[in-house]
Formats: sequence, C-alpha cells, structure tokens
Amino acid sequence: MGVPESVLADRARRAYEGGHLVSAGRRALLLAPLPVLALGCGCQPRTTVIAGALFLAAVFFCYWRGGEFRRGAGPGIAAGIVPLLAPSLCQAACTHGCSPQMMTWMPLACGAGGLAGGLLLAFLAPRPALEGVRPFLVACVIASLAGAVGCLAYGATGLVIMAAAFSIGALPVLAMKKA
Amino acid sequence: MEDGSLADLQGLMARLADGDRSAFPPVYAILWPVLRSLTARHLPAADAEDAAQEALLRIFRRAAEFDARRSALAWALGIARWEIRTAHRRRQRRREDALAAGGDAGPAADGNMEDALLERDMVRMMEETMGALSPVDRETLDLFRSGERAAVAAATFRKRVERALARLRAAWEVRHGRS
Repeated sequence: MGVPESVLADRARRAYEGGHLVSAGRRALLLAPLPVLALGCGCQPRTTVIAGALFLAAVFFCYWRGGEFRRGAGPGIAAGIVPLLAPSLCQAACTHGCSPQMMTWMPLACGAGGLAGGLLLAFLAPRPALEGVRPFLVACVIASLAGAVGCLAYGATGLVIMAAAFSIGALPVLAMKKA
Repeated sequence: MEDGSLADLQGLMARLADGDRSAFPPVYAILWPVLRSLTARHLPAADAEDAAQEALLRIFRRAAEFDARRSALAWALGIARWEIRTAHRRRQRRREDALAAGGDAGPAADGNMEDALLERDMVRMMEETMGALSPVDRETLDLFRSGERAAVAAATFRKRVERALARLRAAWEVRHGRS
C-alpha cells in the first residue's frame, strides 16, 4: 500500500528480468538432455561437457537477451540437433565401445549430420537480406555449438568435417534463395 | 515515464515478450492506470492498490510467456481478475480467522457474497458491451452460447461467430479497458 511510483517501477522491472531469466533457464534446461545423451554415448567426456555447457549457456543467453538473439536461437537449435545426435547415436549403436573400428564411422556421422544441419539452417534461419545479419549469425553459432557437442568426440577433425558439411549443405540453398 | 495508448499495447507487449527492454516504460505507463482502475472497481481501497501491484508484477514476471497472437489487454486483464479473486479469498480467510479467534462461529458467507457481486458486476459489464454490438452479432453470439446454430452452413456460422467475438473483444477493450 502506498508504494512510490519509482519503487513500483523498479520492482516491475526486476519482475520482468526475473521472469525472462526463468524463461531462458527453462528453455536451456529442456535442452540439457541432449548434451547428457552425447556424454553417455561419447568417448570424450571432458570435451563433451565443455561443449555442452557452452551450448546451453549460449542458448540461455540468447533467450534471456531476446530480440535478434532469440529469433536466431530456435532455428540454430533445430539445425544443430542433427549433427549433435548423429555422432552420439553412431557411438551408441557401435557394439565395440570406443574402438578404432567405431571411429571409422565418426567422420561419416559428422559429415552427414553437418550436411543435414546445414540444409535445415538454410531453410529455417532468418534470412540476412530480410532480418539483418545478426539473427542468421546467431543461428549459425548455436547450430555449430550444438554440432560440436556431438562431433568433438572425433576431435578437431570431427569439428572441421561438420563445419565443411554445414557449409556444403547451407550455401547452395542460401544462394538459391538469394539469402 | 514514456507514455502510450491502449492501441499501442499489443505491439509494445509483443516487443517486451521478445526481450525489447525499451518497451518496458510505455507498457508500464499504459497498464498501471488500467489495473488500478479495474481493481478499484472490485475491491475496497485498502486491498485494491495491493491487488493492482500484484497484478502488475505478475504481468511483467510472465511477459516472456506472452503470446503475441493473443490480445495483450485481455491477457493482462485476465491476470488482474485472478488477483482480484485472490484478494477476495484472502479477505474472506481473514474474516473467518477473525471470527474463529473471537469464538464466533458465524456463517462465512461474506466472501461468497463478494464473489457473487464480482460475478454480477462482470455480467453487467458484459451485457453493456453486448448492447454495443449489432443485433446480428448479438443473435449470433446468443445462438453460439446456447449451443445452437443459425440456418446457415457450419463454416459460415463459425466465421460469423469469430467476427462477432472479435467485435465484442474490441468493444470490451474500448469500454472497460480504459481507465
């Protein structure tokens, strides 16, 4: 009762920021099973944990910051899930554990996942010509971070293969759509 | 504090939900008087201010969840009505506790009576708003409410209902949304 207007406005602003933090946290938490799955299937726990944490932190930041970051995050997640899951499922399906035999399949999984992710990115990401460069770049970063969670199990080579496949998948479609 | 009108609320609320912090001052400036006026109509002065503040904070806390396809004003008023009901229940409980502490086990009908009054007030406001609609819209909504259908194709009737509801919503906003 009788709270000064400025105090109430401050409280409202804090409530708004708090609500935004909770909302962003909830979204990041919903995606937490993905890095956990990659961790359970993969052979490089330390790398997967770091990449997974970076991915979730980036998602949290984008949804908290909102605007262009938020618009890019959704398509980035959708595009990044494929290269995240493909190597993880490949490792899970291999009955030989973390063997050299399994590792022969990893480049293929990273490449195929990256290609599919690149296509999804080209179709789903906000077009730079229409919505500016930032949402598109955010989508690329989020997709790459998600893909890195799965493909880093094959080391830096896995990451390079995924990035190359991403470009091969995305660039022709973007060129056709004239971005 | 930046000012704005109710007509701007929809766009401003969508921006706020998207994370655009610059939309905060105008949304605050628009909503606060509306909420105060609504709570003052349904609650005694002592509780009205608290309920309006609670509603305001809740609206900003949930701003990130706001769906821009819905009416911003209807969404905000829905939250405010919930706060009014909560304030009524709180008052009723206080009264019951006071009666119990005083050893008087009298009937706790005051709260129910307040609920009934609130309900009656809402019905009156709705009837007033319905009165502003055209006879055709009124008839359509009456039929829709009673589960009947006009002698027209189902799709046509559905369209009429949608249009009548949109006009009803607009009329409600004009009549009862303003402070």
